[in-house]
Amino acid sequence: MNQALYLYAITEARPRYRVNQHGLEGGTPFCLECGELAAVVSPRDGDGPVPLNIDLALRHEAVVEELSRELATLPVRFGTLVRDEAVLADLLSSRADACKEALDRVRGHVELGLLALSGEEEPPTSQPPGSGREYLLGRLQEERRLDARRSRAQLEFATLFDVVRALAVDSTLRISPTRKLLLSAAFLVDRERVDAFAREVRRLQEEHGSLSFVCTGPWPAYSFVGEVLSAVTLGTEDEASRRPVRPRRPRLRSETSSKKADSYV
Amino acid sequence: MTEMVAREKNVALLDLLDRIVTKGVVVYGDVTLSVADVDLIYLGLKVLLTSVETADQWKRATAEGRIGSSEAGLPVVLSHLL
Repeated sequence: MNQALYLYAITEARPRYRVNQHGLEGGTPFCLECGELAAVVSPRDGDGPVPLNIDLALRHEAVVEELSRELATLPVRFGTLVRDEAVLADLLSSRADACKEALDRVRGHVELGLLALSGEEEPPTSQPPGSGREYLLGRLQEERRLDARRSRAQLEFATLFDVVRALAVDSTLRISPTRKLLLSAAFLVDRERVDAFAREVRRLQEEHGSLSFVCTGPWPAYSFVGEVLSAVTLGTEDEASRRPVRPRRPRLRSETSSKKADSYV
Repeated sequence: MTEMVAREKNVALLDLLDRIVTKGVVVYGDVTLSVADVDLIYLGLKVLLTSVETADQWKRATAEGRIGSSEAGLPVVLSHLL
């Protein structure tokens, strides 16, 4: 069976650091140092795709959270497998500057999630449509209602953002990612300011009784690490053709097409 | 009130899973053997649901984190958010 390495994160190197958490599928995580950087990996039997389930996702998270508490850490997306230590060392050395820059940005910071849920009651389910026309009219009304709510959510967030942005160094926002979720934001916040941030959110909740706010975290800085290694082998068509096949990704209607436009900083 | 707390815990779990699976450094290129590519977990949550075979498995998973478990389980997330 082919061997592979499961990649959890890229961190600043700290000699003799040992990871306490156990890894995915029984693998023991260890740090692979390369200059001032380290890749945290665990060995894996088999190079097939890592199945996506909650147990494995939370195991990935447990390792990354430990690293984030101890070291400046760039979390890697769940399910990333690489061939061996040699290719990983090449990868890190070729993108060392970008990694170090990203590490400097997240060092001492945590990510906080802030979600706004509608407190509105859903309208009662209407009678089954008597005709195709009634059905289409019903759909149209539903769409208009959702559009109006998205516009309102953007206005609400403008207020929300003003209050909490002073406490964050970076942020992202999605408007109405689902029907019942109005806003989904992420903030990069100095570790020392987490309590202050939570206080502001509580104040927001008091001021906006019609919405329900949920503050989550602190998390490793998943939303603020960029894709620092994404350009490594995309230089030529030949290399691009060897990229792993990635399934088409559906986009949310409310998502902007440009990542930059999605960020408020 | 209890219902509200359970809802918020489920929302927190969803928020976390969204991060783990759709954010973070992406390693493209020929060094990468595979990478999970499930965008929009809010919609793709059904993928996760199919792997949650029993309530016991779900409780074990949530017990590891700070999220806490909900007796109602993951379907509550779906009914509240999708």
